[in-house]
Amino acid sequence: MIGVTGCRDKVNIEDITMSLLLGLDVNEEGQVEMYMSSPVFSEEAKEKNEHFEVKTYSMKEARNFFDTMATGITSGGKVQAILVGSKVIEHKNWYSTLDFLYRDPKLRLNADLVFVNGSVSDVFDLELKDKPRSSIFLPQLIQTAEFRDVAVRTSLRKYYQMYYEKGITPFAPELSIVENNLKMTGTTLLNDQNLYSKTLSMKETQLFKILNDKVEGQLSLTLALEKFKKDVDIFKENAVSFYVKDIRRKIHKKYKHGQYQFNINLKMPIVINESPIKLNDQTEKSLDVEIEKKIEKDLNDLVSSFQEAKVDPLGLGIFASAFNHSVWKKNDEKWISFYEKANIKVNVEIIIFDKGISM
Amino acid sequence: MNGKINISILQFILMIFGVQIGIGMLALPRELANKSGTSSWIAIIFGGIICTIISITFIKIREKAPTKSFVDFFTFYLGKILGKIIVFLFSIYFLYMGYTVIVRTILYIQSYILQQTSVTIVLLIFLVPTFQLVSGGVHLIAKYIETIFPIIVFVLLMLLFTLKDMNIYFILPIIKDGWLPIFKTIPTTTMSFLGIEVIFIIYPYLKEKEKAIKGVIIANAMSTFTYLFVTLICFVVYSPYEISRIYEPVIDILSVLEFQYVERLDFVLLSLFLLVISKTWVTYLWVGMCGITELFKLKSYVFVLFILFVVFVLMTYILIPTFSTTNIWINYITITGICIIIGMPIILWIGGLIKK
Repeated sequence: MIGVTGCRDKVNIEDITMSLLLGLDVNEEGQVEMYMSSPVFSEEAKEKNEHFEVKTYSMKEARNFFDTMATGITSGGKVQAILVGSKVIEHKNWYSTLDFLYRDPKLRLNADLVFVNGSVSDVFDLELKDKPRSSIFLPQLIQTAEFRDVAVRTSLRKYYQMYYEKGITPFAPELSIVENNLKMTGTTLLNDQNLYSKTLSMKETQLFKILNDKVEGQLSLTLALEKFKKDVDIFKENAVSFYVKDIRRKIHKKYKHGQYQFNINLKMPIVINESPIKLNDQTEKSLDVEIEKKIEKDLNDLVSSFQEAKVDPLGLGIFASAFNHSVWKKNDEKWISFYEKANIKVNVEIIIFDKGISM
Repeated sequence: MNGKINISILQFILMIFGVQIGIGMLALPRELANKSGTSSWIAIIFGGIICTIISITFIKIREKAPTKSFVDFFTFYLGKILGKIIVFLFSIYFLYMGYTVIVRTILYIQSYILQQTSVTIVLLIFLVPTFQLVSGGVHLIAKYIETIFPIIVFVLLMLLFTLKDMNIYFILPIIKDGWLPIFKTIPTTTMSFLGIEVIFIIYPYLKEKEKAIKGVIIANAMSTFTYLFVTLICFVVYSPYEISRIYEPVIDILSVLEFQYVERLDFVLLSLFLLVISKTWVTYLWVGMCGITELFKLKSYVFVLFILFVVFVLMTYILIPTFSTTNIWINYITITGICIIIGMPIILWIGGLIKK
């Protein structure tokens, strides 16, 4: 008897409904809706995916409702992604619904948090003919997008940190349905109240990753340089593309008369893939300068747009706290008001270390 | 006494280290962060130094009567009646400490791994190997601790993998709010070094007694290093605002580790870490039993141990321990422990003076 009591919560793998995707949304009437999707491993079932929808305030309660509909016992140990509708992040305290994810040790904190541009039910209802079942496809999509550095990746654990840390505002990737296809369209930025503030496009996301020194996969950037514009036909021949290698970032901080000053210096080695001009040792210099100018301008624009939107996804507050703690401690609740007024400058130094095999 | 049963200096070191490192480590980073923020790791070094000094004092006192057993030693210093009372209280403290640690461990198991299983059942299962070890005596326990020592090294090495998400700016500047909060944290860190009081009991079994001082210094240095390592890793991975919200940062930090074929390493490592914690309660229970049997000159050691375990099971069944109640127990026990490690040398010193 004693020997088997430890197995009371034993569940056979055939009896499990693995919830791979969880969804959270608000419908038109202002009711909270929870979604869950899991793969079906039955030969008889025509659909290879089952998904459920429940109207409730608590995800834990939603699980009871899921169990009334699912083939097996719902388990959250393999959750791959949590989809949050764009309407949800317009309402206060939405994050409290996710509380159970952080309380139950069996849940996977590496699951990705994804904001859906539109309603979550559309994503769950979407039938993709040329893709694997959506509960498997979506995690793969997030992974590939991250590898090419066209999207950020925010795990639940990471979001928890960004939510409670006062020196950073949260961000997470954005998913949209474009012409009946799922697409990672950029990054959603939230403000210090944890409410929606701004969306970055794919290109801005790349720049954001450069600025954040978080380039892990292969980041290929394409810029249109004004100087080499020829404008004869539709092919303008002024595009330059390059891979960005290991960035070295140095942030110089200053604090004077209630104003912060950040100088973000980036040393960026690049590999040219595509060039509008013939590259030899002389012309290389001019291309270098042009890229530097262009990217510096883009990055500075991005930073000032952050300041305008009152979001600090770069976590400059953490730097502020690290270098000037006595001031930070008094004002940690009001960091954004300091951030707005701060003088932030990005300087870029480009090092071309490979130009390809032909001139 | 006990000319035949001897432990080597390595076993002596690992035994002290093993008793110190245990349940307290799991929540230590949070407790420190609550007290004085991320600068509090400096207090660990001070705590370590203080405990090393106390341990050396213990050895110095013990050297006066190196071969005397637990009870004989105290009666030698303090006279028959007072010595026996002290030994009795001492034993109760050790047994209670052992019981608290085992119950707390089971609560962790229940919270993380076996949510549906009752505490009493897990306790029963755990008491079986404990029974074997405790009745095996110091020799067996020393060997057990020596054998499972690599596990703690392994768990600590796994912690290094979590550094991929680190942000060094979380702990900068190193001294955030001046030295005063750091000094105020020293009592907390000193408590995590509790366990050095077993030196009194295991010292007679040590084979190479001249190396004892070196041994306690190494043991305390190892504990200090372990605590520093764990705390610093937690402080650079968790944001200062976040760490105070997580009960056991040392377990939680492992939950994000994923390798190609292995996920949820925190469960695996927690299960391994249970062995590390088991060193604490096994040693404490053995030390407590030593005192009790010697004091009452009990012949059937195994039978008394059995009765004790029955009492443990009944207590658990009736009290229904929770995290909050064990927190209160641990609080009382650590305060008693601090009183013991500081008060004991003073009492013995006065006793020695009177005797002269």
